[in-house]
Amino acid sequence: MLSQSEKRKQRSYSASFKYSLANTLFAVAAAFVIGILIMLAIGADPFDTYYQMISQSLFTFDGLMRTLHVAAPLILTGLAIAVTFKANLFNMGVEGQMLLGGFCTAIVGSRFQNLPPFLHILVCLLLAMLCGMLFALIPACLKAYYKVDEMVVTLMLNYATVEILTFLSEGVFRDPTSGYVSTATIQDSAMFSKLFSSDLTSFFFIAILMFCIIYVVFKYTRLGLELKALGQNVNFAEATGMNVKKKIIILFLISGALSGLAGAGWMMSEKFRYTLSFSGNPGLGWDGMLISLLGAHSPLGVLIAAFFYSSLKVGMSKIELFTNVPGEIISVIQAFMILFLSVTIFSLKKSQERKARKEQLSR
Amino acid sequence: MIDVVNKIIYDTILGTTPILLCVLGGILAYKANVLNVALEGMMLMAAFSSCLVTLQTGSYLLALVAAILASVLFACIFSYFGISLEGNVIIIGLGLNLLALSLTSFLLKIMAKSELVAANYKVADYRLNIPLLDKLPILGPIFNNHTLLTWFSYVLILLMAVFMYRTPMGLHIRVVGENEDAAISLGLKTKSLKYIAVLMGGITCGLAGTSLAMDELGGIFTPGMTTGRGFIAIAAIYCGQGSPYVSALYALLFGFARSMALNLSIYAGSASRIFNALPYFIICFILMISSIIKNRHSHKRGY
Amino acid sequence: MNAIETVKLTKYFGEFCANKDISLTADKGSILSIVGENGAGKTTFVNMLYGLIQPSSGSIKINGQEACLKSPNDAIALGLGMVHQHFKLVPSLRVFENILLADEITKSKYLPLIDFKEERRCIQKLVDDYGFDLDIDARVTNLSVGEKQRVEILKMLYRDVEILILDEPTAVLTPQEVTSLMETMKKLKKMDKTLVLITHKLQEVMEVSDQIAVMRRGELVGSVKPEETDMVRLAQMMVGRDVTLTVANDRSHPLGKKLYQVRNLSMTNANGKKVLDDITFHICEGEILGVAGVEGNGQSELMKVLSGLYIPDSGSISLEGKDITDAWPRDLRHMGVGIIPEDRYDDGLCKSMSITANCICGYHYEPQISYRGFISARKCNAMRDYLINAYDIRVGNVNGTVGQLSGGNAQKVIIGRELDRNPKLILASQPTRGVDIGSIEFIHRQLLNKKKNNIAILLISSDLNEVMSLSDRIIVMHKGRIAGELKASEFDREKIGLLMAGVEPDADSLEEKKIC
Repeated sequence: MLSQSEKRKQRSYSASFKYSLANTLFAVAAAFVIGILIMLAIGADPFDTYYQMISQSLFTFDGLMRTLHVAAPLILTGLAIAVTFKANLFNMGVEGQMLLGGFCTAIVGSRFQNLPPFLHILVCLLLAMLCGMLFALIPACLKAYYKVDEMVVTLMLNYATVEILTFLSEGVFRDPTSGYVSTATIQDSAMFSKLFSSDLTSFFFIAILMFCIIYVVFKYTRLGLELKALGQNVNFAEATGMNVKKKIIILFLISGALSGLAGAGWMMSEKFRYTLSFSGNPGLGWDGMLISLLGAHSPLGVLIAAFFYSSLKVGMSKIELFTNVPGEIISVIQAFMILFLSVTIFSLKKSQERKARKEQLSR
Repeated sequence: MIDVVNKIIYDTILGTTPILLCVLGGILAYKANVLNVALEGMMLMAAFSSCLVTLQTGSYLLALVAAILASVLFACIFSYFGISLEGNVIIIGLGLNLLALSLTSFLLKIMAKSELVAANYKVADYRLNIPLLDKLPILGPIFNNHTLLTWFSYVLILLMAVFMYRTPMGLHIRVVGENEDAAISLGLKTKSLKYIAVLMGGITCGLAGTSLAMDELGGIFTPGMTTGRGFIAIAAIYCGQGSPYVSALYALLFGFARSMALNLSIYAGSASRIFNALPYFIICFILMISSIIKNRHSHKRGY
Repeated sequence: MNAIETVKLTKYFGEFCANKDISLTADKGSILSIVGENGAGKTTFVNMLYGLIQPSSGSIKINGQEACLKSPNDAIALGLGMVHQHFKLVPSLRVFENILLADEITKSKYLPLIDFKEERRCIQKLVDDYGFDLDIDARVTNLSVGEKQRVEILKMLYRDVEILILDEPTAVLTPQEVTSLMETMKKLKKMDKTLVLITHKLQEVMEVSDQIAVMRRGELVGSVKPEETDMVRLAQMMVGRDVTLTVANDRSHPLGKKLYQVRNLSMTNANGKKVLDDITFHICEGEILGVAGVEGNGQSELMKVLSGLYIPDSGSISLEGKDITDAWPRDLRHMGVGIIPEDRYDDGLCKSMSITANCICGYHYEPQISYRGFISARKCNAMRDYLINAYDIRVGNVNGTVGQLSGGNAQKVIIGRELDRNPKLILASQPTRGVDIGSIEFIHRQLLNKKKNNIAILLISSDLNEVMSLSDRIIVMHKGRIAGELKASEFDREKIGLLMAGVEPDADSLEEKKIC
């Protein structure tokens, strides 16, 4: 027989999920409200815009398929961020790792000829993952062995990567027939074929496969336990023999591989050539950060958040055709979401404090 | 040859100014134990506002005021979310950086422009020509013809050191960061002190943004023009461990790396772009060295 | 006149009642002691007095006036000062800067620059007035614990406090430093200051108090004068039942062969200061080796080196003749070393993780928990349920986090996890710090049981009573060195106290004292 207070404790444990959901929904709602205010300020009709957005991305078959298609790289970058954030590591290099993966695919995809499609795609994917991992290895080793702040290093490497890739695509690898800076288009054998005569490709299923793997790793493996411990108390992790240095490197490598894969897939299923706007603005890596935050760094949360955000993105890309709102508004809304997600508005502790204060007043 | 060296040093002094101002603003927050990751975004907003106001009014003073206001507004959001609502400052900072980037792009799109050019503004008018200095052979080309803001940023190092180490408020800000419990037990208002630290950083970032857009680039705003200067400032703060003199020295070092890359790329021909990437690697390398030195006595087997 | 009077002071934390109807008075110029177990509500009570937290109901009167204490500022303004158990000092600042913190002397009203010269003069005068032995220009980080406490007291005296609250002031002092603190307290009392002493050490209470208030589970269970009572009666009031104050080691069990050997261990810390200096000792099977000493004399570093977290500069460690100097924590556990770390919520447990995870962490590589990298949730839960039963861990919700457990039960999670894998050697640091009396008894019994099973135990503790009652042999640490080693027959508070303070006790002076 449980006592009254014990029962309450049990209930409170299951309630923590409720509070976390409430926080997420609040952040989304608040960001949308700000979106409404901005649209009103520029004289657009916010409700029509939102309606157009949803109907374009969810209520048509093509739109829905496109939403799934766009979600694929977002799932991967979201997972890439979640793997490190969960362990309290700030790998902001997901964007750069993804660009590197995409660029590598563009080169391998266009230069290697006469390979069977399956092999060609496989080679591209593996090389892109390798590129992402090599990038991630630098901040990982600096962090693990010399305690250099990984956030600053990854951001610096992002800028450096953009400069180098721009240099390469303007020079050595530039497609001379193209009117603007771009690499050559990849071979047909390196393209994912479209399914159901829509935008959807098998890349989506690769992303889902990766999600399943990460889900299992988080939930059922030693590494999952260790990365949680690492994120919540490093000293505890080290004292219980988890070899934190090794774990930091492993997690960064996983993150880098996922990011590289995202870049490769995006290249082979959507862009087909490396241009300076390959990743979009603010970039798939930054989208990944929002998605990971929305999903509370849990794989399932990331999956749902990726679909949600993908539908926003697809809808927004279409609204410029139907309304006078610039598509950039999506990134403004995105930034506000990140901002609101960073704070805990609803929590068990706060609600108890509020209750206590009320009781105190009534006394 | 001597001209190139002079140009490199001149550009170092000029190019360090925004980083230095960011460093000096960020130091206070760092010392108060609130890492201000939003420096980059605050600077970008300031650059945008100063350019826009100059374009509209032609007044440098108004531009400066607008830049400071925009930057302080971001600092207010940062401190409200980070200090009052106790959110994760890194995520708030990154969110604000993204907001600055997207908001400025959005506004440019509405104005149907790809960049802002304040054509009515001539930076040469604001460069100080100091009478005797311009006659000197080596010092002249290096130290003459800087704007008031550049001079001020170097004086600010000294002012900041005096504020941090000689005034009660500076002392209190440091105490809040080092042992918040001690500060609370003596009745110091820790939250207010943190707010002050962040908001003062907002003011200097406003100056940094103005310096970047108006002095360094001569009245031009392009999206994402800060290219990591805010984070370079954070790297300098880390390396200098929050000491105003040492951090300023690192800011100069990073400024020098950029200036070298900028000036040498002229001779590199088609490979000039690769020089742009170099400073970022150098910064990572310096971060590593400084971290190795900092932890050289560590006896930890693991992490 | 009553310097302090509380009327039905009550404090709720959510549902939990930390203080219930506490009505107490203290006369001006007297010493009031508040005693009680860990978690009895003493700290809550004084935090309310000092304005750190606000009471749910009831009132506080200072010098007969109703006081509304919203923050420490209000308390300081009314002449209240507090010396906290964990010192509230800023390590990088100098002594006089710490004393004058939040009260700096500036050059003039309009020029807010700190006048260091005037500050130094002012504090030197204060130190001289009270006859304290303190270098005002020293950085606080370089001071000993006793000196830090003096800085804290001076901080309050500078602010002209009339009422001084001391929270567990003797917990970290050597017996000699305690005596000197008692002298200081009596001196302050003569100067007509009112003192409130919070402690669970009954000996001191009996010595200095004018009035003793006993608290248990948030309630005031009695208020007596020292001459009307004795220590056993006080202990009964505190715990609410008859208590055996200590579980003792009978020391009749024969010791086995030498199991663990530490040779010439030395290490400097990050600031280049030597924190371990030529440490050599051994432990036999079935022996408890106690390490006594004032905190901060190298015990923490020793524990970190022994548990594989730090690399020593020189020296070696061996277990059963095998060198383990370079072993990681995981290797140590694998070889049969149970580790009970000093800081429970830092190295020992992860507050925000589940009880289950905390029960297996450290041993999660073992085949009974995981297979090829996969962890079996069923086996983890079985392990947790087993430990909860075997080690009497009282949990509200088995699926909850460790942070929800009380200090004693959280410590039992570590004890169970580390003791249950049949280790050959147990390294225990401060195993009963901040734990209730029931759990202390339980943990002591567990350790003695292990000793009977021929297990070697290293017991590092700053609680001298604990070390003396459990150990077969004691080494005393001072400034990173072993200041002395004593066999069970030589255990003597006075002697250990001198060793803790770094004084070599020569036989004559001890003899003299005994004669006196």
